[in-house]
Amino acid sequence: MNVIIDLLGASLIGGLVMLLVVNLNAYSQETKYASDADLRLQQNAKTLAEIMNDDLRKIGYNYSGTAITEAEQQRITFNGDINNDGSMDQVSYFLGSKADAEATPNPDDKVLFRVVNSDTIGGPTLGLTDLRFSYLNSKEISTTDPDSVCYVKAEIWVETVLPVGGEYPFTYWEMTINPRNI
Amino acid sequence: MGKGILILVIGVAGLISLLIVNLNANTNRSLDTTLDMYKTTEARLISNSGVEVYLEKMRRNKDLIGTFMDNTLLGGNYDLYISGSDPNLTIRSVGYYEDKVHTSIVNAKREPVKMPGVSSALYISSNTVSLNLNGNVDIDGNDHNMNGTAGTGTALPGVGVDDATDSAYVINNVKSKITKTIKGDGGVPSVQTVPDTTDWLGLSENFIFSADTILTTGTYSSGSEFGTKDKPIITYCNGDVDFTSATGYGIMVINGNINLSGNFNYYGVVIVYGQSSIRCQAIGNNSIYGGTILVGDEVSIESQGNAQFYYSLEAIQLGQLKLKSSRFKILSWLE
Repeated sequence: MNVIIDLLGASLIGGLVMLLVVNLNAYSQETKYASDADLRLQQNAKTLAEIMNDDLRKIGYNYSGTAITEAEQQRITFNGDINNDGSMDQVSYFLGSKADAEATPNPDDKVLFRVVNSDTIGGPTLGLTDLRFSYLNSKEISTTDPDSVCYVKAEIWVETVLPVGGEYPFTYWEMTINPRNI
Repeated sequence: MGKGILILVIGVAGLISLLIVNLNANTNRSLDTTLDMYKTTEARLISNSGVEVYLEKMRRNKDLIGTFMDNTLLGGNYDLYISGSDPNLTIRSVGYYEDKVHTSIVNAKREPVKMPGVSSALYISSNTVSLNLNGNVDIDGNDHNMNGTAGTGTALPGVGVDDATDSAYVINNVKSKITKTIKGDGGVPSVQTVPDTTDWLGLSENFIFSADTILTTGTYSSGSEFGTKDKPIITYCNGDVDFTSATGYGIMVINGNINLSGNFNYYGVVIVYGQSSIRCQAIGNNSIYGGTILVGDEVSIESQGNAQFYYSLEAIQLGQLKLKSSRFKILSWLE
């Protein structure tokens, strides 16, 4: 009789411990997943910011005319020798539609298109959901006149590509660039 | 039974440790991402600041060129390379911040000097003018080439002053022989009131900032040269100066008295300014082709021997064409 009670007690305790371990493992996985997603979100935002930062700083480099030819909220086109090879490049940035990123689980992400001399590169979405450019003159007042643009402000909204707990956490990145050649 | 529990406890502890390690690893990577951006930005700022630092040095040293390694700045350092010659100067700065490197390349040229407006061969702006002219003094507002032949520029007054009182003083206090040698616009004696709103002090300070040569009080003689026809310069004399057997081209700014003791030939603009009392003394054979400007509360001019103050558009244009200021025009900036 005592043996049976010992066995039952041991099984109960063992079962509880096993349940604890399983729960802990599940929690561990969930936390790690959320943490990974957060890290990736941050890295994606940084990657997008670096790409645009690198190009936008070269607006008008070695170009004598009006460097910015399109200054819209979700599209910018400019001239500049962005790879310093002596030949002029025309570069455009614009945001695609949701349809361009249907393959990703995130229903709202879009593709950022970078067009260099009609060579269009639309990389992975990196969770980008919105992009806005604004243009400021020398007094840092908003302008739509490409000739008077001195600062380009870029704002990006980035979400995780995969859902975390059924939601898509987001981050916001803003940068104001003063291209030295305009 | 005891062993089983021990194994379970160790297992759970291991799992928790793994979770913590994973979370810490992600936290560290997240921090690295932010730091990476920070370091990249710092490297860019260092390389750009390096260019700015050396542009400032180049403003003060027009001959600065070469390689300048390992300059410390903002917790990092930069190497700087200046190559080419004006108007194709290239300044390349490589900034280092920890493991990040950024290169900035700037093409620049020096802005030309804005020559002062010359309104007469000899312009005097003063509350009190004192003249003691003897010998053969030629003051001619007609345009002359630097070789002495007639130029094609529009004639200016020989002597320009601020108001009618000064004009009358000059005419009445110069010997009739010399009066006849003040030529230029309006006929002999060509002495006129000329409108002038120039900030001579400000203008002179601009030239001083761009000066190629700075002279202190003293005597400069025996072949002293302050610029050549091919390479005119900006000369700043800080104090009283005495020139003998000297030549020069460009702009000469004198903050003091000037004494020309013979065989002083200058082609360009001479500005004597600043002190409350200015004395301009010429003995022997001296000539200034271009324009001479005397600005002070009291201006005294004394002359003996052969002195020529000739307006020369050619000499002024030479300076305009070849003199370089300390200001840069940035042609392009790759960052």
